[in-house]
Amino acid sequence: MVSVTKDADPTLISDISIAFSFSFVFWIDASSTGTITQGLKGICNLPAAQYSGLDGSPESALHWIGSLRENYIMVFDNADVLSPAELEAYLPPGRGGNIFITSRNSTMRNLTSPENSLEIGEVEKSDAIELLLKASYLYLVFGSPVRSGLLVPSALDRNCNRSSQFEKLQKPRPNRNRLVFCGLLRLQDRF
Amino acid sequence: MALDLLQININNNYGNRTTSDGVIPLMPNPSNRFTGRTEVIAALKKHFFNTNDSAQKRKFFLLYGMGGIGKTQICLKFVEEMSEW
Repeated sequence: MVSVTKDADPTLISDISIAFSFSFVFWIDASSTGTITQGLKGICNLPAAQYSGLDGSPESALHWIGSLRENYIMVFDNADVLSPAELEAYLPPGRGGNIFITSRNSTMRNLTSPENSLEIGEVEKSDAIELLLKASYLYLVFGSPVRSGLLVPSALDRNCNRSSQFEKLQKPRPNRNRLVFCGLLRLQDRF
Repeated sequence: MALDLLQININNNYGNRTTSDGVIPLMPNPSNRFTGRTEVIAALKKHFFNTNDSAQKRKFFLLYGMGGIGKTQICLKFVEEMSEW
């Protein structure tokens, strides 16, 4: 991914009006107006913000963010309780930057417009299996549909170092490992 | 069960939740067990970095869904991948 920074050739930036990454990320816990205010006050203490002479108020933080020329993203996380109108009051002024909202409340679509929203559902079954494997430090070692299964590395309870587990996988000794699950077909290769 | 495990990790990453006034809010790291959701991440990249859109205009996006389903983690992962540092 190409990253265009402010140090890059200015003529290049004027030709490419779209940046390829975010220069600033403002992460705001939006579970209540209190947490939003707290987060905005904290932003006033960023070195870049202090250089602009903010007075420490939430309003000055929003004004500073709105004045940024860099490509920023402001995330309002867990905006579950506030109404769209209440949250809108905390959007920085201006027409630049990016606003990202996570919420249990689907009516937040009124703020972003319905086409700029996505409902997140359950994870795919294959991803859920992979996640479970990662979380439990289990490895799928047989590729054959008939003999597929998982091994618990024998040294797991003594040493959680991944590289030593990996060495164990090079020469699996089934008699020293416990077969705990059968029937998975996909060989897990990312650890 | 997989979701429960993910949830535990989310909570572990939220040690900075109780920030007091004036403390710079830190973005939590995405779970190191983050898995899948590749289509959503790809859609987010397309939305925020669409090169066909010539106007430098503010972009909005909402991820919604039930609690614990992974909205925050998807956002963290996306932002981490698209940041300059």
